[in-house]
Amino acid sequence: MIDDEVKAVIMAIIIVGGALSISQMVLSERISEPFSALGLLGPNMKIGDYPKIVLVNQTVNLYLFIDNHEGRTIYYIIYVKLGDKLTEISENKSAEALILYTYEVILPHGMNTTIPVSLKFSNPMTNARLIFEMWIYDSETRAPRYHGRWNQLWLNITAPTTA
Amino acid sequence: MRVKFLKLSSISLITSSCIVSVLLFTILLLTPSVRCGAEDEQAIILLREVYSKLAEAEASGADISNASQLLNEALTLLKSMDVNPEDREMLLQEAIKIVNYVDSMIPTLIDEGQKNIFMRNVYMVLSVSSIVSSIVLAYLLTPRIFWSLWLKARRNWLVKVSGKSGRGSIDRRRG
Repeated sequence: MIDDEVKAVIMAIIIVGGALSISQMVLSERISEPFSALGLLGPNMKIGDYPKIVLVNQTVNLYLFIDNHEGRTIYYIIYVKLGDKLTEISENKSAEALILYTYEVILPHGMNTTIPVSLKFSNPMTNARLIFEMWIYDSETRAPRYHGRWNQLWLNITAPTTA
Repeated sequence: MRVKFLKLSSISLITSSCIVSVLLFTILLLTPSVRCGAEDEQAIILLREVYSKLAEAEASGADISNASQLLNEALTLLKSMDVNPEDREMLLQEAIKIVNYVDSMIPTLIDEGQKNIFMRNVYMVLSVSSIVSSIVLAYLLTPRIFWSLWLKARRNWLVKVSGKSGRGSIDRRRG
């Protein structure tokens, strides 16, 4: 009663629809590209208005934005390091510089947080490079591991002038 | 000669006792701060240990969102000890209490996670089998349903055989 061609078309539509439904069900919970984000925000919690010149012992207020899309809960450790123009850093190698501050936060997948950061510098320095490195605590090795994400802020730290 | 020996020994005795007392005093002075530092370290180590257990629980299907939030709270308390040194002991105890509570939650979370995984697998198998059976049913029944509906829709129609003989040219509905 019905043509074979029409049958084949109906069958193809049903099979494709079924395959799409099954694949959506199976793959919906998988994270194809896991990533973490690290952002440095200015004193107004926005990208910009970063300080360029600060005084010794002056409090610099900034904010760190951390976003977790790794598909699992992550224990983040942010190291604030003080380097200079010779300090080497990349996605694979963390900076070999003095750690000034450490911030730690545990974030479930899909969550983000903004941490207030208050920094002070005890010595004057020209072209100081403030480096924010993202590390994660590796639950398998039971040790922190560099996660390849980093930010930097160039500063001139000057001594207060005496009258 | 004997007197001299006695004199020497008494001087050395006094000197050594002075050194010992100074050392003891120094140790007594330093002990609280060292102990505080060690306690902080211990708390962080404990917290990280519990986090590792939580991560394993999450990998086995447990929902650890609440537990990780509590652990983060404990971490915040530990980090705030430097800002509020006067409440140091209280913050430390509170953080350790939370960490221990989270640690005690983990077996329940793992059990719930395994149940959730089982139910999810059952749901998945049921969904896939229902999709497959609906495909088969659709293949088998669609033509029948289509043609039965087609016939129902046209059951009142009269059919005239049209041809060159001119015995009828169009179909028309009855009534």
